[in-house]
Amino acid sequence: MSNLSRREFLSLALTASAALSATAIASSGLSCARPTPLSEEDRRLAFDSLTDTRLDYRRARAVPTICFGCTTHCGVIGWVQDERVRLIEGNPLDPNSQGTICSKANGLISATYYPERLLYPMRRVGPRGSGKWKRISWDEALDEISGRMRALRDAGTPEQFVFHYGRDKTKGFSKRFTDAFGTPNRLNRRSICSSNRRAPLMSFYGRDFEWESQDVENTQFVLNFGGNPMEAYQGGLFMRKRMMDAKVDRGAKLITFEVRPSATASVSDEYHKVNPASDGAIALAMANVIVEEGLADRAFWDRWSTWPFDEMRQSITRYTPEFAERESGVAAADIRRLAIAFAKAAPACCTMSNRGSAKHYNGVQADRAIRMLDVLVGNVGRPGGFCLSTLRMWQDRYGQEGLPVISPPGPEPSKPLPWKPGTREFETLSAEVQERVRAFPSMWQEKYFGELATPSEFPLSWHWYAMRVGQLVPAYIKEGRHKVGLYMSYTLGAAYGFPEANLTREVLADESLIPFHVVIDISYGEQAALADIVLPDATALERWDAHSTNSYGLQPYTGIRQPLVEPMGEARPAQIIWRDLARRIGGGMEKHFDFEDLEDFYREWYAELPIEWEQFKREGIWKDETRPLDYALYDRPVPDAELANAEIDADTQVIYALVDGKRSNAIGIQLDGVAVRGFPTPTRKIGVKDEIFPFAARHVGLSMDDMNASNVPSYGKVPEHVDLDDNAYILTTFKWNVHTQGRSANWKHAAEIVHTNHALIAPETAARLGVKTGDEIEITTLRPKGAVYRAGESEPVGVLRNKVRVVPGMHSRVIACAHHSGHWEHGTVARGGEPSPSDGRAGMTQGLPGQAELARSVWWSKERGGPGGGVAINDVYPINAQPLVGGQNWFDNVCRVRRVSPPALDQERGS
Amino acid sequence: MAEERPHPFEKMDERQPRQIERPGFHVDLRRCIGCHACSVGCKTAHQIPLGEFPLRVRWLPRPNGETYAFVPVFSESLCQEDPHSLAAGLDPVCVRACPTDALRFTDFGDSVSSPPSHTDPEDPARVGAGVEGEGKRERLSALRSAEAPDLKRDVLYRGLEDWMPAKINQGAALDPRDEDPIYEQD
Repeated sequence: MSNLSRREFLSLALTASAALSATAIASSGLSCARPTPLSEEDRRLAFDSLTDTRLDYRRARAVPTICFGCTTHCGVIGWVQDERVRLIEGNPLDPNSQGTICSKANGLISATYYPERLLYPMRRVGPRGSGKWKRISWDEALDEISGRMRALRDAGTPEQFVFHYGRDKTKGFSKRFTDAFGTPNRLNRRSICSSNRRAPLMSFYGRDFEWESQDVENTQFVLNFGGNPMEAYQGGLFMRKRMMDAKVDRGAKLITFEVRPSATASVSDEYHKVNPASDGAIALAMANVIVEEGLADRAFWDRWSTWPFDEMRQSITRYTPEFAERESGVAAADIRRLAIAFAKAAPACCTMSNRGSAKHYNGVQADRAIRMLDVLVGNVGRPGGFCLSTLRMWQDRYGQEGLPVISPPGPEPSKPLPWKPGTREFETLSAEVQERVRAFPSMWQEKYFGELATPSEFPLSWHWYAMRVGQLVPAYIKEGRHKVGLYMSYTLGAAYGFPEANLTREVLADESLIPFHVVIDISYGEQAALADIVLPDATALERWDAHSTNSYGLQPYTGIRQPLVEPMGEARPAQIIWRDLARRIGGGMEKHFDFEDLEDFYREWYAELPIEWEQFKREGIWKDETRPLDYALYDRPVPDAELANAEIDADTQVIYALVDGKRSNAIGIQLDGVAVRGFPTPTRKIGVKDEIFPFAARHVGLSMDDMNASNVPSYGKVPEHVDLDDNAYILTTFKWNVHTQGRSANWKHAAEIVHTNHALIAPETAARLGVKTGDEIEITTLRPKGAVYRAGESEPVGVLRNKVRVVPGMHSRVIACAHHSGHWEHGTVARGGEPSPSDGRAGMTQGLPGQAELARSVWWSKERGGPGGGVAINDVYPINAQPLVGGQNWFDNVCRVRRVSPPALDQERGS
Repeated sequence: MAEERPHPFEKMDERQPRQIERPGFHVDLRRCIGCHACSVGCKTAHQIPLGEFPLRVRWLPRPNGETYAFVPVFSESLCQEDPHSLAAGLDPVCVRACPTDALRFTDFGDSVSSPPSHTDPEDPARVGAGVEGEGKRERLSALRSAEAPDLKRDVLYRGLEDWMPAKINQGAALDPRDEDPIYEQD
């Protein structure tokens, strides 16, 4: 195209519909899965609700909100034209995202206008799971659900209402519902995600601060243990731009330890392939080098660490670089070199880690070892270092005075009472559990609420706050550890995504275990297929939510998710669903939901914000740019006004506030004669050495020889990784950058980029197995060992078949399958064009335009010669909860692999 | 560096259209993280059907290496440089969507870094033009591939390596020879 014609075309396009040519693709003579051009008729059908396909920025409204494409929650702006959201881009006022987005932001538009989205309540007809549905009215649905819930309450057994969410960012709204109802069973999937990562943060720093906030903007050297901030590190995507700017503009170094060539590994200055679950050995060896080279920040360590320096030095001498090389495969010389470079960059250096280090049997200890490196070189809270900055709990005393207190409108319901010995609830527990709980100290008995909410075998899943052990819930229900009356799944994909998802499906399908199952979600997924009533939720572009998280900009801020458009069809925001259920259930529940308009509720929530509500809505973000950055909050003085009514403990120097002359909360620590804030731990110091681990181990009978019982950061091999033979591999899983768990599989633009999850293996692995790209293998997973669920059983967990893709840069012991493919529900796009085994269309009838596009243009479908939608893999991952904390050890799975010969033409779904 | 982002909240009707003589892009491959925000933003804003790629982000396996290089590739025929955004005085959607400033919109008509008008006879796959940058001359290259007539002309890359053009095959269109670990189509 000449320049002249381009200009002509440009002006033409400004006045005409932007129907585009597919000539280039159609002219290709190659036969493979590739799109054929849509006819004009198809185009019209695809977009027939739009009178003008051109996005006219002058006519459109730009409305700020908070992205929900993943749990990073970037401030974004949606362009709304003709009451349709047309484009999402970054909100430059967001100090975390700095105005950036990723592809997932625009996935929200795919989700909102997905032609197979749920729009109406529906009730099953025929047996549960048979896939037959009818559309019902909201009144009918809410009457039935509330009637059943009221009966549980009237019978005095509210705990039999079990609420289980996958992604709930209503910031306490659903908790208001479960508290008001009287059940402690507000379950989640934090153990699937992040609890192994959070426990070390809470042990070290007293809170998880939503996440730590590395000052990447000013750093010079980053040691990344298995984090993937360039793709899928939810909450950590805020580091992308900061890290790339630091690298390109200032020459900062990024060193990544990984098992596969992720995008982060690819942009790193060094990518070291590590044996799975060896991150802790590397970190401890680095600590050893730093100490022996005299590069530790002794002053910082002595002032803040709970672990005496000489004791620490003695303890880590065994972790030599040579030892770490044997464990990890990373050369001792590299470990030594990188440790020295890291320490010499201090304080402008920081560690980074995410699931890669943490989702292992030894992952909690690995993250403690990694976190220790920052303390050792004294970069904590310093420019370029490991910082902590959060909005949450501003009212708590951590040197963040002067911030507005924002909280939901009252009246807040009272919380359910703990299940202490002597209560009715306690009597529902098995003798074994009763015995364990009786032996708990009172601080734990005050926090114990039964085996689903607070599993007694995993006290560190609720010692700091209630993280739960979600992946064990179906097994516990099956074993009869808790009686369920009504199960409500909110945006939960357990039937597809939990480890041993087949067990979840078995339990959900069993009416003797789950008498009634309600699903609230935006599309008809595998969980909904096993419901009795399905309720359509509003998407993130149609709803309100309060937003808060940590701030990589080191200035606490808040944001508001607000509806850009009305919900499609009869979909309703979850808050409205819970309000209307509460009103129908009555019995006092309703007074906690006394609002008509959700906006009124959120306006009151933000009443203390120092800007007008309308301005907050217009900008989407509030921050106080005049605040000093959150560096070294621990060294900030305790204000005199607080000291006036406080006392200092003579032994620990911890300063306690006095209420009516009695000790209340700790507010600081007296160090070198100065009263400073310290950290919000019991000691007000950094809990590098923390007796809570052996204490918890003793209470659940975990051997003191297990690395998880150690009071100091330690390393031990994952039990099933000891003496692996040459035919054993480790099956691992990951997310591609365009996807977010199973929920993104129906975002059409994401699915066309990544729709399969082939087994990625190294060239040397392929040679050993005698396979090449496109061949099929069979993977058989084995039970884990150690102190975990069904440990050591000889029967395999599951078998799956998948095609191979040979990928240079893969660790030769690792087989990696992305975990968001292989749906059998969720609509045409998610299924890769395959038909659905059930029929959720009752909730979709009179659905959205664009079905013609779906039916004819899923170019990767098998029908069109493509690979289809991938393989469901989650059935073969064993339920494998780390002892004490309970995080799922996603990356430990030992498996056997064989070539399927001759390669089968059809892929089977897992197991 | 990329110019300051527009503050796209209000008063859009007061913004002047971009007067562009010869629209094009600078792509800084040192900054690209392969995230696809550009292409998904483009396809969403312009309602591009599945299978058509005005812009496609390639994950190219590095030769003899163990990681990927990320290369956004523009289609000559399908990319229109987003006239709707330009008319509203904004950068094209792909540029606004890029989280790492790897994409920059450029008017080659008045830029000192004009794209070359002819091919380097010694290296037909690659054409170079020098610009001053950060104290030294940095090489900017156009992406030329013998097999890819659909490659966008007015795009200059910083950090394009010699082996890359041969991997681009048909430009932004899908090609069964692609070695990306994504866009599976076998």
